[in-house]
Amino acid sequence: MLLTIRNLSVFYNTVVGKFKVIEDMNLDLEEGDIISLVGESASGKSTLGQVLTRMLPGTGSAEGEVIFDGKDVLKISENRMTEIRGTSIFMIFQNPLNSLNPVKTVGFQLIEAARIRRERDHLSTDEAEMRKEAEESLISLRLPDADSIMRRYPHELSGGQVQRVVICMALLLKPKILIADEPTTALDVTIQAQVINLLRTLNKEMKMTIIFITHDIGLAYVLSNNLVVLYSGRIMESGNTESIIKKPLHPYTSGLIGSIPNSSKTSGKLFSIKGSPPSYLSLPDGCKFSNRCQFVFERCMQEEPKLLDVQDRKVKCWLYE
Amino acid sequence: MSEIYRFEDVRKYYLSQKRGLLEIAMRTKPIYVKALDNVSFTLTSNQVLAVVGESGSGKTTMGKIMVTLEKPTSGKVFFRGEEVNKKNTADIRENIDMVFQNPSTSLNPRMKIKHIISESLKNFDEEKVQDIMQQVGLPYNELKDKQPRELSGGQVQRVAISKAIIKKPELIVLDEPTSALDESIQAQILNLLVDLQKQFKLTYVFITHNIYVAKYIADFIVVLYAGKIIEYGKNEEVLEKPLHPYTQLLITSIPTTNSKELKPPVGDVPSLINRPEGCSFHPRCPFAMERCKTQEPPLRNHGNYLVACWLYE
Repeated sequence: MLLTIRNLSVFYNTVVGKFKVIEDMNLDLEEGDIISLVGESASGKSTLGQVLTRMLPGTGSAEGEVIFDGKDVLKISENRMTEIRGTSIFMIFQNPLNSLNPVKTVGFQLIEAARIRRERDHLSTDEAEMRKEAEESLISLRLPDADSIMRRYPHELSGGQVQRVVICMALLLKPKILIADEPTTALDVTIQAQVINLLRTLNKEMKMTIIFITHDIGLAYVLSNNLVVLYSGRIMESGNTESIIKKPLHPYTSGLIGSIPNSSKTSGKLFSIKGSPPSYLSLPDGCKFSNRCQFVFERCMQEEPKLLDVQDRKVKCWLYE
Repeated sequence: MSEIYRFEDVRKYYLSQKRGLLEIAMRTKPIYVKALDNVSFTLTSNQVLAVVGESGSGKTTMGKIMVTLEKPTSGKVFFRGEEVNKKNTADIRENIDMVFQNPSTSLNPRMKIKHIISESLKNFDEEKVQDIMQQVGLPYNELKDKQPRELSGGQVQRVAISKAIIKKPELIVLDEPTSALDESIQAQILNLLVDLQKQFKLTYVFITHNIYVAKYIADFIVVLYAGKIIEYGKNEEVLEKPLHPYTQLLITSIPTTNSKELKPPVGDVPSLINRPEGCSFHPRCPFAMERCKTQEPPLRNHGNYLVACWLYE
């Protein structure tokens, strides 16, 4: 097991009190896996990514265990954590332009990444060698004219190219886990498809484990083999992607899948989940989805369901007890 | 079914750099961004036309020209057969409205909901506001005195829609009205838009990058690429059997729960300043021929379609 999350809870301190944005989360991740975290805005998907890299904002705090490579990420010292970031856990953010330094050339930043890995692996840090390595990985990402891209600044590249430069950095650092937080939301569909195909090859050829955070369930289906559906900071359903998408058990998951437009207006109304996601200020009692659920009954309003083992997966719903 | 809007060879060029005295004195050539180039089409009333394309394809520019926020550089636009000019702009704006992508930035943050909705009526008409809010599924008594920031994303978009339909315009231009919303809310808004369109016999121009949203809502589809129409036709036909290679690849790049394969076109969207010679899609096209590199294909009839591609000559 590469990554084990046990009883993880995350809190945010605000002026009006302390909120629990992730409650009691358990998750296992095998090496070479692609897992997707799916949920609407404010479901806690990005927070989970931030916990794994320990980059929560100052007001946030986490409890529980996040065991990566036998060490608890939440407990080790900051110096040790700095060594884990990059070469062990690497994160790609939504807007790639924000994750590159705007006043340094792409080449400088890629060589820096190569140097960091070589230093940590105690290899030679020969400038020419590292430059060659950076160029080769740019070419392997099908970025033509690697030499000229190395000499350019991030703002001189298109969105898709910048995102590929960030992925190229991941190639150079060779992390064990790649966390991709909505990496394609800022990109066009055709470029998105190119990036997704690229992530797939990375996973296949380098056995890179990928945690893919997205709100697009179709994208999760295309890329991942395991799926976790989040709602209000809780896992609602988790298991094999194929079986969840083809036969969702939790009413929220089936609602999400049903609300993707797939037909024409002539064939009837779209299925939609009523209401909107609750605010953490006023979460409903019992099941957090109870106020939007179409199968809601007495018990849902009073008691929060446990994550139950149903068929081949885990579901948090009283319907399956 | 009568003609409501017509574009005739519309071009919209933007200057890519400010042209100051020095540039004029030095006689440097102005550099233009060709946002729209030779766009012609006709829109008939009581229809939904979806405008599909990637970023930079000119979708929003087209919407802005329709609502008279931008003037075309050359070419003519006609609203109900009447050419749009300075004199009748005010009149046309009475009959056209627009819903923007991000509702929270397009509504006045310091106004109350009831005043935002009734703003275009000139004077506040409580009955009308109450009626329209009920139509879009907003509780009047609960929300009338609130400000946009107190509402959720879906509710704010409903406010923007009711603001647009309160005057009962003939044409509404919707610029990516659902792309800032969560999927469950998107479905609610799409259902609402379809209901309103049927009920008030509205005409929509629906600008979107999401082909599945277009497929759901549209009667006709225009596919834009680098500022040009490359395919036009009935919704079912264009999306089921696309003719242009770009439309085909666009459809296979969209992740769905039906297939695990994505087949995107190679390369990037072309620059609008130095557009490739010939067909602007040829550097990315799998079927590119010699001719595509030098000659630009015109938009021509092919069965029920209009398509700009040398493959269908």
